[in-house]
Parts: sequence; C-alpha cells; structure tokens
Amino acid sequence: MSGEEAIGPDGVPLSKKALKKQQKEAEKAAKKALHKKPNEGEKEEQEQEDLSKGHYGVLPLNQSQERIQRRLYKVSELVPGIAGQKVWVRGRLHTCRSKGKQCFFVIRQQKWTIQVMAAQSEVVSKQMIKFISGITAESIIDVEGVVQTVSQKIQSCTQQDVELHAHQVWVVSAAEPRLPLLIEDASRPEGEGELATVNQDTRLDNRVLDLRTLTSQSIFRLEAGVCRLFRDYLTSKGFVEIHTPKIISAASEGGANVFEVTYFKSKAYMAQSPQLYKQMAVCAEFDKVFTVGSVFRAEDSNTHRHLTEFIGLDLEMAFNYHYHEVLEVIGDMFVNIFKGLQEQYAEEISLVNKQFPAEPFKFLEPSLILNYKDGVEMLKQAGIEMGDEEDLSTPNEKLLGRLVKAKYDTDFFILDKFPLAVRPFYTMPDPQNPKWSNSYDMFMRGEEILSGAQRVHDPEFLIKRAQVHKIDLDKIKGYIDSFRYGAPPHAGGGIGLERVTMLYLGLDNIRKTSLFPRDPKRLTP
Amino acid sequence: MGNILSRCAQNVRHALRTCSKKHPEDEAMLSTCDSEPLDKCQEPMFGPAMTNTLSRSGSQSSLVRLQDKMETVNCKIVSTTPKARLKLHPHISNKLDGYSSLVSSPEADVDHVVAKEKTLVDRESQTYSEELAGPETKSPAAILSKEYIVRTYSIQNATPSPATQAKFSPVHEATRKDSTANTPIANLEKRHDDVLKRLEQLQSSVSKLGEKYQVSKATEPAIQAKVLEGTRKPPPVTSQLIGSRGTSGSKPMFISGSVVDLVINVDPSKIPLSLIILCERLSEQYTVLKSTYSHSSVSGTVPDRLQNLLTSNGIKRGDSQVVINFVWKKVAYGPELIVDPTRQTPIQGEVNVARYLARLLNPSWDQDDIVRATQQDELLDLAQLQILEGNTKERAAAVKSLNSLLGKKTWLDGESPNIADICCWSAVQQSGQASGPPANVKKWLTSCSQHKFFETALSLLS
Repeated sequence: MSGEEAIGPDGVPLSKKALKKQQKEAEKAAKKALHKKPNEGEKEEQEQEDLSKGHYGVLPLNQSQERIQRRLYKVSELVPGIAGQKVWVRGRLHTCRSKGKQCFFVIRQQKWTIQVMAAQSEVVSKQMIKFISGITAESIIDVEGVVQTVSQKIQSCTQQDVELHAHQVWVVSAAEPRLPLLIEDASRPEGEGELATVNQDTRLDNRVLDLRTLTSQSIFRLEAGVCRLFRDYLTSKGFVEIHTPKIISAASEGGANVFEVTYFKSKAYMAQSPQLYKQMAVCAEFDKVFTVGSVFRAEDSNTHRHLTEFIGLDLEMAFNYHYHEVLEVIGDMFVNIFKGLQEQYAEEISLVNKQFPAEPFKFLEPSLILNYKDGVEMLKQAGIEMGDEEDLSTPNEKLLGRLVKAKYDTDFFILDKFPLAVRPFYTMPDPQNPKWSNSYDMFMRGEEILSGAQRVHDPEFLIKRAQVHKIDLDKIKGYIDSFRYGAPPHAGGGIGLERVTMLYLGLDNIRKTSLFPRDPKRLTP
Repeated sequence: MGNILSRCAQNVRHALRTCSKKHPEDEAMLSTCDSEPLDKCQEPMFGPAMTNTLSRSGSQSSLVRLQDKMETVNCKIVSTTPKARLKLHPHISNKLDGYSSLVSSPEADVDHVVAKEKTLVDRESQTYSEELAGPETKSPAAILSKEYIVRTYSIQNATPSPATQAKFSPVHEATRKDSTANTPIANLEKRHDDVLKRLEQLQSSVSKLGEKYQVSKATEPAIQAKVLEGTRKPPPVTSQLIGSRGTSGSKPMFISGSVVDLVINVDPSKIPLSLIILCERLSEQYTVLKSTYSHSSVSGTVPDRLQNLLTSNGIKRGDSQVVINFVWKKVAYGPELIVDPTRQTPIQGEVNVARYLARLLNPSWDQDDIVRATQQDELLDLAQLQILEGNTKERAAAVKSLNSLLGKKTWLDGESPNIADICCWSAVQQSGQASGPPANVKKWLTSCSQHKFFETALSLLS
C-alpha cells in the first residue's frame, strides 16, 4: 500500500476488503440521496405545478462527486457573434431586481459583467423567479441561457450588446445575506451625488469583498503587469533574478527602522533592503542581478505613501566605465514599463480612472535626466529659498515635479548628482567635486520612487566614508569585507512596486495598491 | 508679537496688492515673498485664450506682429533686469521710425496696415514708459519686503525655546526690563525693534507708492482699463528678485554663463524644417546640448531617424550655453517653445519659434537695421500665414509673390541665406509647393538645396 493508509474507526489500519466495503456503502448512500431528490421535486410539482422543476435550486456541496463534461463560457466570451446559442455561465450574482413575472440580474465575473433576464414562460416558472430573486448578492451561480442581442446598449455592463435569457439557475455557493459592504458602493466614485461610498478602513477590513470591485481587479492586474514588465525587460538585458534572505543578523544600513524578531536564543532583523545581498551577488560574478521581494521598514509614518511591508523591485549592475550606463538601463526600463502598461493595460487604466479619475501618465523617451543643481535652480526661480546642498523636502519635491511637468510635460524624470552630504555613506562621491555624488533619484508625478547610486566598491575608501558618517565599523564589517576580494564598479537602485502602481494610476493612497496593506496601525487581515 | 507682525505683513501686502493692480510687477514680487509660490506657477501670464487668438488669428498680420513683440520680451525674460527692459523702449521707438519711413511708400494697403500698426505700437510704448518709471522707486520696497519676511521667519524659529516663549507672554511683559541682563533675550529684543522700525519704513514707502499711483476708489475704472491694456504688453517681470542674470548688451543671455534651456515640442507628422536648420546653426555658434525625446502622446509612432535627429556627443550639461530639448509630441497649434513655464505661455507656430531662435543667434537681429528686419518679418508672416496655414489659392499666390520678390537675386534678402530664406524654404517644402514652382523660386530652391545650412533638413525630406 502507498504511504497513506486508511484508518478504521478503531484506529487500526483497514484491510483492502474493509476499504472496498466502505466505498460501496458510500456509493449506495449517494445513490439513495440522488433518488430522493426527484421524488421531492415531484411532490412540489404536484402541489404547485412547478414547470421548471429541476431547472433551479441549490447545488449540493461540491466534493468533486462527478466531473461534468460541460463547457462554461466566460462572460467575456459572450458577444453578439454567438447570439442564439445556449450557453452555461458561472459567475457572481452582482445585482438582482425582480418585477413579478420578470427578473433581471447581472452576473459578474472578475471585471466583466452581463445582464441576465428570466421571464415567466413555459420553461421558467413563477417559483423559479421567486427563487432567483431570493438568491443573495455575491453568491456564485451557474446559469444556462440563450445569448440574445439587445436593441439598446446596456450601459451598466461590460457586455453591452448581448444579454442572457435564463433557462436554468443553480446556486453553487451562497453568500451571507448581510454583506459588510456592497460592491456597488465600493465601486462608486467619491463625491458623486448622495449615494453611499465606502471608507477606506471598512474596505481594508473587508478586503476580500473590496478586491472584487472592477477597480481593484484592474489595479492588481496592472500591478502584476508592472512586475512582469520589470522582469521581462531586465531578463532580456541579461539580468539574473536572485532571492535574498529576509531574516538578517544585523541591520545593513546602520540599524534604524528595522523590525526585531526573536531568532531562537538571539535576535534577528527583518531585511529593510536587499541591497547588501544584491551587491554581494554582483561581486560574486553575477554581473547584473535583480530581485522581487518583500521589504520591511519599521517607520512609524502614517502617510499616504508609506507601508511597513512592501514589495521591492531591486536591481544592481556592474558597469564598465561610467555609472550612467546603469542610469540609462534603469531609465529605459521605466520607459518600457510605461509603454507596456499603456499598450497592454489600456482597459484596466480606463476602468480605474472611472472610479478615481486621473490624468494619463506622460513620459519622455529617452527619460529626462536633470542635474540636482538644475532642479534646485528651478525651485529657486519659483521662489523657494533653499541651499544648493540641502535635501529636497517633500513639498519641494512635489513642486519640482510640477515645474518639470509644466516645462517638459513629463510625469517621470531622473534627478542626477545629489549632494554627497544627504546620501548614505556607501555612495560614491563625484570625481571632480566632493560636494556632489554619483547618485540619483527618480520621480513619478513629483514623488520619489527610486533612489540609487554608484556604490563605493573599494573597502578602504568605504571605511573612510563610514568614518565620515560616524558609523560603527564593527556593525558593517561584513558589508565592507564583501568587497575585499575584487569588486567590480557597480550601481543600482530599488523601486517600491506599490508606489509605482499608485503613481502611474494617479491614485491618492498606497493602500489601494497593496493587496493586504501593512502600516503602523494595521496588521490584519 | 507674532500677531502684530502678521497683521503688519497683511497690511503691507494689501497695500502692495492695491498698487499692483496697476503694476503687476509688485504682485510678482509679493508672490515671491509669499510662502505659496505654487499658485503662481499655475497661472499663465496671459490667459490661454489670449495666446490662441494671437497665434491663430490668421490674416491680421498686425496681431501676429504684436505676438512677435511679446516674444521679444519673452526673449528678454530670461535675462530680465530693469535695464533689459529699458533697452526695449528705444527699440520700439526705432521700430516706429522704421514704420513711419515705410508709410511714405506708395502702396495704399501697406499704408493702412502700417497706420494700424503704429497705433498699436504707440499704445505699447506708452505702457512701457509707464513701466520704466517703476523699477527705481519700487525696488527698495521690494528689498525691504523680502528682508522683512526673512526676519519674521528667524524670529519664529527662535520662539520654541521656553525662555523666549515666556518672554513674549503678556504676564512677563512687565518684567522685561529686569531680564535685559540676559544677553540673548536682549539681542532678540533689539532685533524685534529693528524689525518694527523696518516695517515702519516699509509702510511709509508703500504709502508713498500708493500716493504716487493714486490708488483710490475713484480711479478704479481707469485702473481696470489699464489692466486690460496691460494684458497686451509683455508678461510681468517676476525674475527681478532672482537677480543678476546678464545685465545688458547685445548678448544678454550668455554673459552670466547660465544656461538657456529650451523645450521645443514638435509634431512628428509635420516636421518644422526651419527649426531644425536653426538649431544646427545655434550649435555652430554656441556650445549646445541637444537631445531628442519622444513624448508618450506619440509613443511608438516616431521613426528611428527622427528619434535620433538631434544629438550632441560628449557635451556636458554644465559646459553648455544652450540646451535644446527637441520633443516629438502631439501639438495642436504647430511647434511649441517653452523656456520658462512659470513666466510665459508657450510660443506657438513654426515661424514664431524660428524668430526666437534667430534672436538667440543674433540678439540684435531687429535692432541694427530696422527696415530690413521689418521686411524679413513680412516674409516670415508670408511663410506662416499664407504658405503653412493658407489654402491652395493663398499658397500659389504666396509662391508667386516670392517669385517676383526674388527676381534675379539668389537669396530673398542679402548675400547669404538668413531666417527669411530658411522659413520660406521650410514652408514651401512642407506645403508641397516645391514641385513645379515658377522659375525664380526654382532657382532659389536649387541654391538652397546646395547650401550647407539645408543639408540635414533636406535629408529628412527624402
């Protein structure tokens, strides 16, 4: 016998014979149940003369009893081309309204919807209509019906040219009658008339329902697209995908903002960036690497753009002569992602914009690269008082975004050559002027999405830089040592997936683009 | 204390604002002081409708000429200093002279246009001279107001320390004298007095200004009329506080070594050949960082040869005098030029952008020989209004007049091709008038195609 032995009621493994016996009994019971049902149906028919007996009802719990050879059409496949055909469709009951002898309901399947009509006739009884109108919203139902073209477009559905005339309706899985939020309410643009909308916390508390809205469906499809385009582009450029550990022994960047966890008898930390590991991978002769994975930040910031856990898209690349080689790859990568989204996700973008209107994302190809100095100059001309080597504050960052947008009409740009003083110790200083550094930030709609730099790859110089920043050398010994056995000049950067999605779509809160967001105040669901 | 200051500040702002109804510069100064510069950026200096009427209003060449003048000022904005504007004044009167000399020419219709022109220019020069009175008297106020703001901040910054906070609370007011022994507080007090003194000075100078410009309810309609008129004059000069970008002279832009950063938006389906030629000429004269972009509005439709049209090898941004960003983009009203969006609306139309570039090439283009410049302007208008935007009839007529104008000459004007040749050639090529032209035009086209200026542009045609 194979690994799994059936156990009898007395705890002793059953013999082959006993097993067979048990199986037979089960089959018998199933047959009995099957016979019983039609009998009951007959009784009902006799009492109420139900014409549609056996054409509606609640299906028994699916335990994979039988594999029915039946094609289930997708809602998206129901087009005028197959008008007149009888089809089976499975989906969720989105809305339902009945008027005595007629019943209209909408079946939703992911982002597609179709209107179904059940009217009293020789196949559809009054009882059946009553049954349909009693099905709770969000239940999963099977419907058999005939595809019919309609004279007037159905504005409220994605399949506007056809509707389904139901012959059979079965409930596969019923939803509770009281929903914590209505999908319709959750899909409504805010500030539209007096109709109800759902606030963010209610949405997040009932994320399973909230994610069913067309908008959420579109957002996460697009987010998947960002990730796929990121992978595709970098893979085509010879990058290798790596996976870095998320439990680390010491904080890589000095120690702030890390979560502490118990690690058997000692302490460990949640990785706040895969940087050290991707740099080590580059030193380990992988040349160009990228990684997609969770990143943890113990920052107690409750803003629209901070999460404590998010998906980092990180890349690191050895270059030949100048870090601009890397900058161009990253810039080109973004252009490719934006173009890919524009081409492949036009429908999703427009669906999201219906609920959360935003201007389409604009960009230049190749990406616009400005020097930090020029950016500061632009801000000064706009009346901002700031020093040349001062870091950009959030409002200034936004203002600069608007100034750049006004002039170059692009929502994406790169700011190069940041002041050395405002960057971490491992940033390579500018060769001509130690005031500046070989580092860059990238912005979408005036918000920073990527921060990167050429890294110092010489251990001695790294020690010198760390001392300038007054960093405890013991804590970063491992980091420094990884450059002792020959390290290529390299540069890289990291992006937050949620932030890119949010800004591309022009959404106002990062929680909308995180499946189950984690912030200082939310750990569930 | 803070209350008093902010109230004073409000009074000052209010007073300045009333003044500035007449003189937008003050408004501009104010907003540079205000903590919310964002609003400023959003407001274009002319309403968008205005630009549209100007750039679209077809046959009225006078309007186009007016726009041309605004452009002159746009040119100067980059360098804007009071002096630069002072320069403008004689220039306009020069132009006036130029026009009057034209008035004596026999053609009647020219007469008509010129007369109209003259009144316009008259009116403009009036506004200019008014403006000229401005800067000297106003600048101290501006400086003061700026200083005042800075000082307020520094005091506010100082307050968080508990000792100083106590100082300002009314209960401790009486004990002020006793605590003067405490030096930092005494210092602060001195500064406080200083600030108040300066505020008084500021207030008096503001009220003087108010008197000077007779700000009162009675003159309200008059002011409004002026404001209306004001919309025709160049945009208010906001960069005064930003300061010393070039002073005067024929090449104001490059004196301080700061970069002129141009964005030219161009539709890939209608390549403005003249601009490409002029950009190339610019890079012969200056260190130019050229880059070509394609905007997401035309993404994927721009052929590679256009994508890499203008590139410059190895020129660093820091070393360049001019930065040209050529952007392939969907544009509604022809090519667009943006230098500084916070102080201008885009300059629209191929010929208008060409005028700007020509002035970069030769800043005194329309100041040295005013008559000749006017004639060239005429040709540029012909290229824009009749050839580029005209119907078949107008185009044919324009080519005919080019033919008669050319006569036996090789170039339209002078010994070598200039902006008039470049723009007319570009217009003729783009509008499909290059096939089967009259004899003189044909000869001119041939000499153009043999001249080195036109090489790159020609290669785009094939």
